[in-house]
Amino acid sequence: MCYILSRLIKKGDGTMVSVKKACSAALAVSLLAVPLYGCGADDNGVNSGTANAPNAASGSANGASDGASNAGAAEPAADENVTLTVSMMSSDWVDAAQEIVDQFTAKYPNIKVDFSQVPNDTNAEYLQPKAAANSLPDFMTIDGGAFGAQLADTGLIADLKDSDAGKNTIDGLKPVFTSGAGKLFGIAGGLSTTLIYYNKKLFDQAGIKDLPQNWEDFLAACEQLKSSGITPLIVAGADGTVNNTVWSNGFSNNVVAKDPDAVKKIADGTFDFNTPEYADIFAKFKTLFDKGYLIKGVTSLQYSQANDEFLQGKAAMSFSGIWLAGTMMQAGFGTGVMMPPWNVKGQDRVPVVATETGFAVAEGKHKDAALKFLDFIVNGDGYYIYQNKRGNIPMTKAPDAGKLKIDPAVSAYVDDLKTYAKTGPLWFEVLPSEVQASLVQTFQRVLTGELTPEGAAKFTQETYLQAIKK
Amino acid sequence: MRVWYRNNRSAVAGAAFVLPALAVIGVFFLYPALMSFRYSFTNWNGISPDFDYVGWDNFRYVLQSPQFKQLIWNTLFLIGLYVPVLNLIAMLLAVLIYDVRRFASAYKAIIYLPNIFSMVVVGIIWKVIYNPVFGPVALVLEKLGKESWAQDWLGQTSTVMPALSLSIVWYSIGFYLMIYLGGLSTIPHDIYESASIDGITWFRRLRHLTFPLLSHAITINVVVSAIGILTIFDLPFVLTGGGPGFASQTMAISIYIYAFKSMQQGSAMALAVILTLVTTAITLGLLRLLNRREAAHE
Repeated sequence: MCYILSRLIKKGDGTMVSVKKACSAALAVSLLAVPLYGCGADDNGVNSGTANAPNAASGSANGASDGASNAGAAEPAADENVTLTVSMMSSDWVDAAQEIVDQFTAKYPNIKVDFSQVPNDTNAEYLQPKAAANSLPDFMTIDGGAFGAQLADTGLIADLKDSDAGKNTIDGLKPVFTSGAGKLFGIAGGLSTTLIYYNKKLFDQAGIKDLPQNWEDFLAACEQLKSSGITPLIVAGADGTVNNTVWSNGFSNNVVAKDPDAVKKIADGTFDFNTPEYADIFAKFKTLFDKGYLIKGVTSLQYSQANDEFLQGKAAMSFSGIWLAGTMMQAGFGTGVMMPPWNVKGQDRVPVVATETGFAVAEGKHKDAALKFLDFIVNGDGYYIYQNKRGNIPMTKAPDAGKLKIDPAVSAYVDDLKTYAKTGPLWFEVLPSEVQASLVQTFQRVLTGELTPEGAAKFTQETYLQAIKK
Repeated sequence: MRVWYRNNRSAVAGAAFVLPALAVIGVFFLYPALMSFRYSFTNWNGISPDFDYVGWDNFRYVLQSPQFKQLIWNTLFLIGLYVPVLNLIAMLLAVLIYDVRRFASAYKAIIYLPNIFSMVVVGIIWKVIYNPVFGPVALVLEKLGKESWAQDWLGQTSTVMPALSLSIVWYSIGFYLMIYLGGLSTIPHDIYESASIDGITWFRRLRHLTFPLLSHAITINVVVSAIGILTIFDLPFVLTGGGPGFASQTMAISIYIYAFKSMQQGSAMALAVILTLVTTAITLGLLRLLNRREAAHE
């Protein structure tokens, strides 16, 4: 380059022109170099964002496992300045998340936290491209189930079995956060269950004295509310909330109640979704819709809007989960909780008992710092900031009871849960991703009349078979 | 070497200036496009480092999926409704603003304003507008005593596409208006003066002078709006998520769902390849048609 420049500049005539051209050429080459530099090796010498040459019939993408296997090779010294990337699906506890980050950085001044909040229901979408590019956040929220297990078995996220957080977690919450290879890839953010929040004031107004104990009672209560001019129920029908609530309770009471091995069968690829019991999950929702018991706009209603509408007193009940207890129980009208009565008369109820979205640590050079963050949010002061905001059920073996804030109604609800012999899962813990991806649309198609409940069951079975085949 | 350079220096200088842009296009567009094509023949799930080649399976899977027919219908609906309606309204507004002149800058700024927002913000705005419980439309209808007229505009298969189209037109009309205004400014005034001396009415001037002389701008706008609507993602994704069911699902949303919710990168890439082919075919068809029209006017 210097030679070319000097040759151009040394020319007698038109020197200025040559200098301009030389500068232009240098600029052009430097501009060209910038994007190409971005394709080069990173600090660890790990290729990023490109695929390795495939074999004749198979291939390998982006060297993710290479990066993982190199991970941990360059652990920073204890007091070395570290920037920790943290992503959390914390829309429900955004202030608490920021407070946790602030207190953590105050405790560890050498660790700077680069925090990103992930919108609800989009955690896997947020993480998947990052996993493909081998650039997962150092610390992240993660759900139990297939997605996290894949990340763990690919070597992208750490096995937390021997971490302090792992040892302190209730054993019953570990299976859905354990991969096929036996790695504990996440620490549950709490014990999770679905429930119906109800507006005591509106219930009194409608003259409802006893809480419904089964599906028939529930329909009668809805009718009573409707005839009093009150919208009975809010469910967000345009996002994963409908899966968390209507699907998970329907599956527990219709399917798990009769076939306790259903979850295992789904994993084995031997389950049959095309049954009257499964179709009834959709039929119950359609019944509520057709009878006008659901809030107007349910098909396009999303989680945050649904919560707002309940808090504004637009309906008597909100079908949601314990993860919202901290917010819902504070409503001025007085909030009660009840177990979703999705069981038919004479049948025992099967409540959903599952795991909250949990926390995971990426393999990489900041693993130690990320484990400190995990310990802070699971065992340290961070936990009480998190739990007090959410008001949910602890996942640790021996939390400081004096620091926990659980509404007495929620405590009583949890005590009641312990008396049930059978429990069911949340949808994302058991369904293959292909079925998960189409579940909301299937509910919407039933509500709009495009599919019958039986058609929805058949469609789910076809999607499931495709997933098994793939 | 020096002789060669002297003979070709303008070409070398030109290449030097073009090379950075070509490199950016190559690295960030062409290479990913080629990789997408490659992955469309694999069963890569987006995470695992390993995958197998599965031939045309992904294309078959996508084409036979229950939503594919709906996707084609939605695409045709958007092209059939959005492209002509948007262009007609943008053109008429441009002509009115150009003719009126008074407060023209204010009108232009107001109409262009939505275009400076992020599509995500626009989606959220319209989601509130359409909310049948607390949205402004429902509120106005309630005040008028027509509460029952308030619909779940985004939750019904019969209303979701018109509702979506309206929000897209609201968002994008300013951009197309500007191009039409640019086209209008190139039409010589003396043609209009002659026309008015001859007593030609405003409507006939519009039909026989303005429209033909705007043919270049029409070509640009029709092609750009067709490509835009074929590949649209953000606004419908925020507003409807493609629902209810698949009623407002665009190809881009479907690609996203395959890739990031269903973990089927291979199927997603197959649909992306199909979308590229459909977009190319429609764009070339439109260009051919419009160029022929332009040639006829000239």
